[in-house]
Order: sequence, then structure tokens, then C-alpha cells
Amino acid sequence: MSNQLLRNSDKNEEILRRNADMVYRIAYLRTGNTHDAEDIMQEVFLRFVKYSPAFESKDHEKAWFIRATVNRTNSFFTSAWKRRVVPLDETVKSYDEMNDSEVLEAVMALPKDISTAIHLYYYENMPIKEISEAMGKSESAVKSLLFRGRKLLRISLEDTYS
Amino acid sequence: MFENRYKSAMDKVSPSEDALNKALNIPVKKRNVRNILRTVSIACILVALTCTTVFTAFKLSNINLFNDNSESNEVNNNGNGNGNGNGNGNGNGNSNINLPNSQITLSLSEHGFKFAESYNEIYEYLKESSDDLILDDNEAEDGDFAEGVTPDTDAPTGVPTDTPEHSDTNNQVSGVQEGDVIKNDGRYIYHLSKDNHRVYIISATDGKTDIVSEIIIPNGTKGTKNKIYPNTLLLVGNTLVIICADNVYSNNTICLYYDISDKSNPVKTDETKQSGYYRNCRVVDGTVYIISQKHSYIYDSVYYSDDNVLEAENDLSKFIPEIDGEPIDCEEILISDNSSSSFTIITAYDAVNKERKSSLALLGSCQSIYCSKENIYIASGNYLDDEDVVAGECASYNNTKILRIALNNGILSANGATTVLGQINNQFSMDEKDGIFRIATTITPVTFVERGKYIEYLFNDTYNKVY
Repeated sequence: MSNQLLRNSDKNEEILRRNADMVYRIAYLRTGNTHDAEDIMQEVFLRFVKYSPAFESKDHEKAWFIRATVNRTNSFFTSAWKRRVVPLDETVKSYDEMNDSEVLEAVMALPKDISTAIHLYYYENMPIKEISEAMGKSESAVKSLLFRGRKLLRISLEDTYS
Repeated sequence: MFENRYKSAMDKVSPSEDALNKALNIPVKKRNVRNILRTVSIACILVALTCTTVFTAFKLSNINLFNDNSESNEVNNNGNGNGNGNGNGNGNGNSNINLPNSQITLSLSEHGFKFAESYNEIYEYLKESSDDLILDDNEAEDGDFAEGVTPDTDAPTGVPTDTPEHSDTNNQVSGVQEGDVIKNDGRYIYHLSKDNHRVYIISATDGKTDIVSEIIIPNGTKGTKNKIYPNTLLLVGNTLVIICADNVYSNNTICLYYDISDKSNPVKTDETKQSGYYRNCRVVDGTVYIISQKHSYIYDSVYYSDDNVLEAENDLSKFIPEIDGEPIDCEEILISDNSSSSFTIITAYDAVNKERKSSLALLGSCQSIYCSKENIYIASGNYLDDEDVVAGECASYNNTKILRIALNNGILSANGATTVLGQINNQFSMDEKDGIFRIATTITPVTFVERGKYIEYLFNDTYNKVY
């Protein structure tokens, strides 16, 4: 392929480092444990290097990484369940240091897309339009994910709040 | 607050240094063209294979939706010549029957709809409904330009019958006009320029165009008081309708009516106003239907803080939508049990005789609107209630409630409702033909598993269905 499409490996590393935490957090949320999250992160990085997408803006870059992470975790679940290798109990309840928060646990127990939308909204502070682009869903779908998520969280965290 | 706690918990989540370095030590490879081509072609094949949505429009003899002849709706017709006392067979376009309200509510109430009996009832309803995010879908408001479409033959009088062929808004239903920023009657082009805050009337003959006149929309500059924001146009014979929002927050939808019999001198003939932001519009047989949406928050927080309680429950203007400055009659407000603190307001205006004909409001979720030549159908998605959530299986994660409002030449009347499993995409998931209403939904069966304090949803494969 022409040299024009070759990207400077330093620049690659800069982009990857910039998005590592975000990718890892989303993967952690969706898979429920650190090991799988690390695997997903590596797969997402590999995809980035392999396809070398040219980003038009920071938002575009962010959306790309989020979408790649979501896609990888989806494939992960499909293959895992088909192989029947990963018992659900392990993935949902893994006691890491990071997972000592009731709030975090509550979010992780939500259906995957809902927890991702909640995370992007509250943690990444993304507006609904950007979330819809990143997740590849319509804005109304994102709104309904958030709506559902809040409702479910309200139930599960009711004891925590006065 | 949830947000702070979640943030502080998530801040601790980050990859270990080892894992990060391992992930970063990926050799940079040159892009391989052949790999890309192979991947793309495989993807295309997969997409083609997976696009097998079963879409058969068939008449359901067992499930009769909106069938005025069904046995369960034995009503006394007013003898409008549609003799259908036999409770059998499928619908045959009898949707214009005028049924007394008391008999209509029987079927409406089965699906959670009822007319309000007092403003107090509405106030209490608003207090109950939690903060919500309205499930609006991205409606086809400004239709695309469709090439080579024959002129609308249902145009009301006043339009010359020998109009040259011209392109038109991509209306979903022929004869039901939708809004657009450009309108075209074969001789003149009406172009709404939002940036310039005006409508240009442009003559177009023999390939030459010429601006004939302009309509300037109040834009808050020196000399005009209020800036209003134009949104879309409708063309009804010799009347041009400009639909606008009254301010940046769009508290009200304002329609300006201009007589354009003389293209070089448009004359404003009327102005109407209704609460809420502009949502959609339609024109059927010279009657303009404007649909707007207004939120009425009494509590303003997901976690039920008491910060924003409305004190004046006797002050209707605080929570009841208004039409031309007057609050809507509570008898014209239909309450849905799909709880939502949002009103969908539909008004009917006769553009030919220049008078308001009727109005109707729905208090409840309104997701998609489909309008045929006879009826408006409002569909709203609904998720499982928490009470329905028990460990086990459920046929569908969500369902869609449909409300039918007959147009009746401008006298709006809600006269039917039903519920189907699954969710729809948008207005194009619905269609009415020959008295049969058809809707395509996507159904997600769900299994619930209890995990200690939480209930986890396991979504099974979705499938599509046409009712």
C-alpha cells in the first residue's frame, strides 16, 4: 500500500494511549472483569493499527474507539457463549479492587447497551447525539437506553439513597 | 448523587501498566489491499444474507385491528349509509363513522386511554409521571426531493389544472402533504431560507428562475419586536403556510398563513399558535394538521427531588397546553397510561375557509406519527413495567400502543386503540390501505435472571413481525 497511508508509529501510540482508559473502562463494564477487558483492549488496538482509520476530528476518533470496543465485546460474547467456556457467574461477580463500589456493580448488572449508554453519558459526558454516533444507534434508541437505565438503577439503588 | 459516585468508582478502573504495554507493542503493519477487498466482499454477502425480514402484508382474519365490523364493538351507527351490522369480515374503510364518545372509550380504555374529566386529574397525573425522556424518533419532517413524481391530484381548488410536471416532497402517503423547506407548484418555487429568515417566491419557467417576491419573517431586528424561527412550509392551493417556533426554546409553534394568489404580493391572512415545539404537520383535503409537543414538568429530576414543584395547580397556564392563547378543554385531552409528562397537541385548521376546526391533545408518550388520508395513528413504545419483571421468560421486551384519531375533514376524533408486541422504527413502519392498518415491529423476547439484588435481562434473538 502506498506510503501515504502508513501512519507514523509514534503517532499511533499517542492515539492509543489517549484512548486506552476509555476503551478499557467500556470493555470492563461490558465484560465484567479485568482479564477480558484487557483482551478486548488489545483487540481494539490491533484493529486500529490494522485499519489505520484517518480521523477527521477528536470526536470522530473517540466514536471510532467506542464503536470498536462495543463491537469487540459483542463478538466476544457470541464466541464465548458458543464455546460455553465462560460461566456467567464468573463474569458478573468478580471481586477486584476496582469493583468495590455498589454503584459500579449496579451499572455493570444492567444490560450491556444500557450500561454503555449510561457510562458514556455520565462518565464521558457525551451528549446524546455523540453517543448515538458512537454506538451506531438512533438518538431515540439512546434516549430509551438511558431512560431504561435510570429506571433500573433507581430500583436497584433505592436502598442506598434516602 | 449517582453521577459523582459513579465517576469516582470508574476513575479507579484503568488498565494495568503491563496490560497497556502489551497492547501497545503491536507491530505497525502496512495495509493490505487484498485483505480489505476480501473483508468487504464477505461483509456484503453477510449483509445480504441477514437482510431476510419477513414482510408479508396479509389480511389477518383472526386478529382484526381497527375493524369496525368486529363483534366486540357492537355499536349503533348513525346510519351513515355504511351498513355494517354483521360482525364479520375485514374492515372496508369505515373509519369515518361518527361514534358517540361513550361508546368509543370502551375500546380506548382497554388499551389505557381515557379522556380527562378535570384539569385536576391532569395535574395529579403529571405529578405521578416520573421524569422521562420522550421517545421521539427521527421523523421525516422535511421530505426529500423525489424526482419525476406526478403532481398532487388532490390539490384543492385554485391550483391551475394544467400544472407542468415537477418534483415534490417525498410524502409517505399520496394525497397527504408533508412539510418541506421547498415547495413547488410547477410554476413557482417557494423556498424557505432559515438563515435569511425569509421565504423566496421564485418563478420557474423554461429553465429560467427569477425571484418574484419575498416574505420576511420577523427576526428581532430593529423595528420588529419578536424573533421567530421558521421551520417548514406547506402549500395549500393559494395559501402558503410557514410553520415556526416562537423562540429559541420553542415554547410555542406559530403558523403564518399567507395568501399567494398574487405571487408578487403575498398577503398575510392569519396566524395561529399552539403550545409546544413543532413536531410534524400534514395537509389532507385543504385542512392543515399541526402536531406539536409540550413538556409539562412538575417534578424535574429522576431521583425525585422536590426542587421544582409547581405551586400554582390552579394556574392552568403552567401545565395545560394552549391554543391561540386559550387552554385546551380538558375533554379534548386524552390521557394514556404510557406515562409521560408530555402533551402531543394536534390542531386542524381549514386553510380554504381560514378557520380553526378542532383540536385534540394526548397526554402520554408519542413516539411515531403516521397519517393516512383518513386517520392519524400515534404509536408509542412501552417497555416492560417493573411489576411485570419476574424471573423467567417474556414474549417481548417491549410493546407498542397505537391510537387512532379519525380526521373527519378536520373534526378530530380518537376512536380506536390497540397494542402490539415489539417496537417500530418510525412512521414508515405503519401503513393504512383499504381500511386495513398494517404495522411492522421488531420483537425482542427476554429472559430474566435474578442475581442477588439485581435482575439481569438476557435478550434473546429479535425477530420481525407484521400485524
